[in-house]
Amino acid sequence: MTRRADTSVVLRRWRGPVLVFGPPFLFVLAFLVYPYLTVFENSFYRVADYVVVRDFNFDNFERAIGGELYRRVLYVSARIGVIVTLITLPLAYLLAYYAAFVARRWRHLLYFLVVTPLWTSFLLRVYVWKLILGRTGLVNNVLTSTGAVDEPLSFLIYNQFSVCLTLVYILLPFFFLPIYTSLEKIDPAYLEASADLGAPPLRTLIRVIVPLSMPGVITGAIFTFCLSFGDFVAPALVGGPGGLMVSNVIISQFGAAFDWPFGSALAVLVLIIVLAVIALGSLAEKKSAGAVA
Amino acid sequence: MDAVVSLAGVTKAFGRIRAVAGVTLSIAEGEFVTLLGPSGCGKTTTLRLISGFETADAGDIFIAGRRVNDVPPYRRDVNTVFQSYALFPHLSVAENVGYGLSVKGVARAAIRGKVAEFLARVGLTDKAKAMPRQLSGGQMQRVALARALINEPKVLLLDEPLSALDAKLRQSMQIELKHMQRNLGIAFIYVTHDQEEAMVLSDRIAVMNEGRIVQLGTPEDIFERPGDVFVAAFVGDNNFVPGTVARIDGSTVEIVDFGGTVWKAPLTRPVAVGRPVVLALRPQAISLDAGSDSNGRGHRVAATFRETIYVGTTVRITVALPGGHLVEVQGAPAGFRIDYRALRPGDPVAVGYPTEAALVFDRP
Amino acid sequence: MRGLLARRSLARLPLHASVGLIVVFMYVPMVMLVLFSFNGSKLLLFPLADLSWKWYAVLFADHELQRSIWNSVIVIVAVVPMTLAVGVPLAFALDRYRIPGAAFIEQLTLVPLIVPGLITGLAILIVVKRMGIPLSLWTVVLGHSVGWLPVVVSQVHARLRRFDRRLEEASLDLGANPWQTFRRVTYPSIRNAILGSSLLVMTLSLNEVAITFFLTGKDNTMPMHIWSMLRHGITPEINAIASLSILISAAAVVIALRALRSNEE
Repeated sequence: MTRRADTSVVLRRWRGPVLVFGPPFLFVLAFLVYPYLTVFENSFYRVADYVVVRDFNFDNFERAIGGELYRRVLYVSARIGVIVTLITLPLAYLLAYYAAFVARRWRHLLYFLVVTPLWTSFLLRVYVWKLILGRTGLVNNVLTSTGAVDEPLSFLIYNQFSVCLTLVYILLPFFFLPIYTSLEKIDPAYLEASADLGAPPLRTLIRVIVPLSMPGVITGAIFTFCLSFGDFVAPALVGGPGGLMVSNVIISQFGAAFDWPFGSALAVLVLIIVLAVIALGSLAEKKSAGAVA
Repeated sequence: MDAVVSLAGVTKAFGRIRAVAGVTLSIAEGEFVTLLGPSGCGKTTTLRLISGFETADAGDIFIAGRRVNDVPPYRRDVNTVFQSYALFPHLSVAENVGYGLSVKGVARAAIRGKVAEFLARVGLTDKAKAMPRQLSGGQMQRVALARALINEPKVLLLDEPLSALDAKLRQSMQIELKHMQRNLGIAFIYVTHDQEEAMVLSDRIAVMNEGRIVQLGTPEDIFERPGDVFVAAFVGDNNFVPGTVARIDGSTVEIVDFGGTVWKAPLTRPVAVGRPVVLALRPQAISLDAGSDSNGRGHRVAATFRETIYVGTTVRITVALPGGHLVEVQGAPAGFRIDYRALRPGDPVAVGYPTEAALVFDRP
Repeated sequence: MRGLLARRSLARLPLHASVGLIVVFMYVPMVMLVLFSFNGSKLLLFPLADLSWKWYAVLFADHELQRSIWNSVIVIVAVVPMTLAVGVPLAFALDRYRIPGAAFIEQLTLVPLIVPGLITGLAILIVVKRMGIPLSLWTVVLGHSVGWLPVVVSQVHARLRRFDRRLEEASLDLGANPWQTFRRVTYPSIRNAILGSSLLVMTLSLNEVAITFFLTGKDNTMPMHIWSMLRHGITPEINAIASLSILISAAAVVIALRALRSNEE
């Protein structure tokens, strides 16, 4: 007899929430969604006489993928991303495993030691490798002053090797965190059960611990790849001409070259690769979750 | 109208599921009413409709004569003791108890006095400064009770408040609750799925099933005169023998079960010969004789012994009817007229019961 | 038994050693920075030629650097409340309402965390230019607010998911109105998540270069100033800055870990 679902009640019920939650959603729309979409839009325009001309074309993408130079930069950046990820993985896993299962009362100290660099300046942690590897850097100074070499070694810096080394150093904590989080969640009862069933420690590691920590490994790998692939600080400071990466090219397009549309197209390509890696990662995560369950 | 709470045709659906389907119920001042039913029967939703956490799709809810359908929970004169107590973990026991007064802007000194009074009432004066996580289950229960009662609600709602406690503590808390309710004279609406608890505590019990109140009455009513098979099965143990009405003889009905055994029951409701029915018989009402013995009182049927389960205060004996149907007999170990320990599976026995102990229901 | 234990720990020796090496790899560069900040000569060589505070003196006399630090402070002071004002209600909305596509919206807010900061920066640059807004510290603030929004949303949302909603019901039941309920029951339980993520946003913002790169005007933030110093070659003054920054960060980590750990309890 008293069915009350008329609009005024609905309005009254939702007015408060809309007032509180509306502005944040608008912010996300205006300054997060819209900007990324604008990059996409811009990538189809062209520049004439230092002015962006809004005529829709695919030239930027043709130039980026078709041209040897830019394809090579994208390839080198992606390869550095993969190499850094592959080198960081065992180091981070070892640290996380140690912190979760071996360190015991040192656990918190180790965690603190690994995580602290994350909070210090990215820039300075890249710069320190310039101090170590540079022509008048620590390594060369030690080598020449002890007479081990006559000339400073030049292959230490300004190449892909120095970029990879620096990125491994910087991203190690990023890779460590998700692995540690997933290892920490593993119920010790599983390990005991595995040992109880007669599995030697290595077998327990491979059959129980590694599968259960896969989600953390995948998350860490995604982070490490994306952050190294898109980095511009390490290549700019320790990369030299050989270690140039895609972000440096994007910077030059937005700076000296003043070709925003082409820079946007490169950014879109970076975004596509990053999103593809994330999609692949979550697919792998689902698969590994399915295999565990 | 001196009902503290009354519901009239209240309905609430979640999506396509009708959690409460037309509940009408009236609770008098100082009364202890229990909503009893299996999980998913709508008893908790009914409680949440009264406290205001759900809004009724249809029907009216009155608290102290005022229609409260559109009144938010914080303006209703009811308080709730939640299932897992929901004590605020960041507040001390005293702050938890004083919370209701504090949000109403009562002066600090007045709050302190009242908190002390109610903590004394639940016997937790020495725990005033403790944090909830330092308390035992029974103590948390008492804090939750004091926190609700300090607001002097017209009615206190309790949602399975004892379910997290162990059996011993639960029993002593039941008595404590009952005493407190009598002393305060506040109406309690109590939700539980435990029929024994409902029996111990309630003035009246509303048995609920599938969103409806299927029977409302005193514990004696519910236990001794269940309205249908559901109530008979849910409240207390019962043997159910499906059969057909064979003969009506004055005030007695004769029923023949599928194995051909003839049963007798009092004629309490109109039935016709040939009608499919269920005969309900409580295990405690049945006695056991040796198969050859024939001087028992009441009605007797033949059966064979199956097994004995000894549970201390009682013994449960299972016997099989000629048709294979199993019947449970329950009694004190010393109460049996035969030596049940000597029985071997397959031994013939006789099952006897006073005719008036049997109930007949329509077969659902 | 003892033999077995000894053998086990012996077998673990390579494990201990390799973990030790990794930690050394992580810390030798940092220790070096600190040591060289006291190095009197420009030459990077051990043992240090002569210990001196002179680079710290240079540092404290560098007015441009001081101004950049001040600019960074302004940015942080604006960014933290911005991310909270947007992130906390967003986390609540995602937790409390059945918004169509809530999972998608949450993923969307996490995008800036994964996408290279440079791209986030240039995306906002294009929009800002289009709107005719000149680059200044405020565009940097906008960029950081978008970039660190995911930190607040994910931390607060994670806490809300573990929050027992019945506590709010209990509060309403006891006569507290929705606002009192938020202030007295809900807020105290998400306070540490808010504190922890604020601190995280602060340090992230203090060290940020990628997003800032395209959005900074003539007022440089501290990392952007250091960036321009680095482009001019190595000066030991930077070692002194680095040492101070390591010190501050370590202190911040200790506080933040405390806050977040009690958040997990």
